[in-house]
Amino acid sequence: MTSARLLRPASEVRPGPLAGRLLGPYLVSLLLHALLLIGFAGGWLGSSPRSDSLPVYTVDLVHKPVLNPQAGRPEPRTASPAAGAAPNAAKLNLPDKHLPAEKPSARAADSHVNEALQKLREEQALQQKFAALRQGQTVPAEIRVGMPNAKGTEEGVDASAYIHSVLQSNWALSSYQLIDSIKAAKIEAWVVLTYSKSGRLEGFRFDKESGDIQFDESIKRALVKSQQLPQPLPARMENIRAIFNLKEMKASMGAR
Amino acid sequence: MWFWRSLLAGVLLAVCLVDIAAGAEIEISAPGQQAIPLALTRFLPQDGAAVPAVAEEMQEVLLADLDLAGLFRFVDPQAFLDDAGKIGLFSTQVDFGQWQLLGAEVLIKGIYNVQGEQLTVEARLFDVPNRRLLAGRRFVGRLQDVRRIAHAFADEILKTLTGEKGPFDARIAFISTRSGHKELWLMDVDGRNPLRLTDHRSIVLNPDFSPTGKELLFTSYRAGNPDLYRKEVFTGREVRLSSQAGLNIAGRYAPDGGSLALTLSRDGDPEIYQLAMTGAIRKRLTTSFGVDVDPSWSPDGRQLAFVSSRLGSPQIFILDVAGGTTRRLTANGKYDATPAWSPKGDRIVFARQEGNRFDLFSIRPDGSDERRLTFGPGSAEHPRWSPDGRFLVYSVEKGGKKALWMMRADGTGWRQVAAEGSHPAWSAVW
Repeated sequence: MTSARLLRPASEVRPGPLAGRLLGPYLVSLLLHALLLIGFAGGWLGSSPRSDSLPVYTVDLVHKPVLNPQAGRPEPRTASPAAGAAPNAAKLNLPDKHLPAEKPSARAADSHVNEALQKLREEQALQQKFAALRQGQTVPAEIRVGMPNAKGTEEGVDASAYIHSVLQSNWALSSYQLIDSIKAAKIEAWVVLTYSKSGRLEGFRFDKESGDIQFDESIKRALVKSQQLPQPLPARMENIRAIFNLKEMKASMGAR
Repeated sequence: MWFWRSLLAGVLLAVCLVDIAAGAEIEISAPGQQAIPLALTRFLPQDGAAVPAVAEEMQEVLLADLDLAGLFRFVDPQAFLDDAGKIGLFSTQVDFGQWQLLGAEVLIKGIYNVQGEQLTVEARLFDVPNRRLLAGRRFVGRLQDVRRIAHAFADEILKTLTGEKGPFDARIAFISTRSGHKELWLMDVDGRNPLRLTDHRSIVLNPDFSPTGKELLFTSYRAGNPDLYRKEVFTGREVRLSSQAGLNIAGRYAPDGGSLALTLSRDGDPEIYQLAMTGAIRKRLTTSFGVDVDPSWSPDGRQLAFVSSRLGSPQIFILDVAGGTTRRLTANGKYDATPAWSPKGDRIVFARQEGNRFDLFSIRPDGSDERRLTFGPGSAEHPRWSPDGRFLVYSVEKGGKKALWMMRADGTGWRQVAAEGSHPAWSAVW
């Protein structure tokens, strides 16, 4: 190739017959490489696409996700006979003209009886709870749900966020349990869960075990503790993939 | 053209299919509870008369050891229900519902039996959510072994929950002046049962346990010169191992126990040497101008961390034992001293002088991630690792008095273990 040819304007350079034949394969190769690049960047080709840099997480210090906050701040669930002493007592305390005024000693005796009854009811309720727990059942929470000052028209949070919250709060693991701090920083387990509409864990399986027995055991304990969600779900949730890792504990594990 | 269209359509379809297959995904990037809720019940008498002191000591030792371990959040004993007062040690006999209600994830229950001087302790660790036994041990010993039994069970608990045995059923050697001279002493990990090992009536310094924990190296001025001695712990037999002219100090067993490193100043300049266990010099390891002291082996025995003033102020250096090459490890302080290489190999802890006192720091062997572990008050020196690399024991000088302290390797959980003492060394599990 002479320098004169190199100095010719680009418009004058025509591809030879061989270059023309190679143009197609070149373009195909270029396109495939571009797709490969996009694939890796999008994270659907690599087996571990997550970056190692510390991500930013939202930490909600005030509101734990509630499944149905549109319920506003309702009264506690309808009083059962065992727990329904308060309304009855209120009814009895209404002034009644037709009844003669009770003597103070009789009132005192009544209050003693009421107290004793109340105590007995509480004890019975506790025994029922123990019995349920002995049979492996989870006692449903009897707490108010919803958000303070809610109007009852708010949208609920995503059901998977609710499950996330329950699983996380039931997951107990100390960083001191993980002997190899370097491995622990990258540890991860994938579990596939299915929850029924009533909030019962129908089953789970490990898609990927972490390789650390303590880590996997802690997850199993969290799942056993989460086998009954405190509230039902809007619908059956099938094949939820829960990824357990320690990304937010990395910094505290580095010194060991 | 059809080729390009079909290729593009195929790629788009693949992307869609991958997205559909992934389904709903939840990422939980930290546990909600970063300590395991533990219920530690009081040990109960099996039959015969109750000996409250046994139950109290079991409780006290287990509580202290497990608290130092850092794994646990203790469930308040005031909240315990009637199962805490029941003897049942089989998982079918435990009312797990009660413990679940209290939020406990692991439960410790136990019984003891005293027959004359003989003590039998049955201890159990249960997994509450899964309602199963995790670990169970039956210990038989004398009545005075109760603390040791509790330490041994604490070690088993750590093994069950971390995969690695704890270091509590071990001993700490240290230097104390409580007999009027600087002598070598031995005590339990919690500072109990101190026992004097030497009667040199001189100055004894710098003990180091052999990898088996059955022997000790130390320096003594008994013969007027700082010579290196070797002592068998159980028989009390003692030999002078190195008595070269000048210093024979800071002897450290190699991890295989087949040789040792120490500082000799036989040629005037303190240098580090490798000695056979007979005391014969095997190799001179440093040859620089300046003081080279305080060797500490890497767990694989291939490298030594030591202090050198070859570049001016004392700094930590790393020596490749086979190749003889040296590199500087620390560069931030003006005076770094007494390095100790973690048994796991991942960190080196050392003392650094800042102002008029020392504080402890730890650093990775590649020189990265330097962290300060102590922040006063007092001068923290002579750090040594527990055999499992989880804890550190060190001395703190305050008001002219030296005491022994202990903490987790990350600088948390510090506590005093002995009101008087210096130069500690932690043995292997006893």
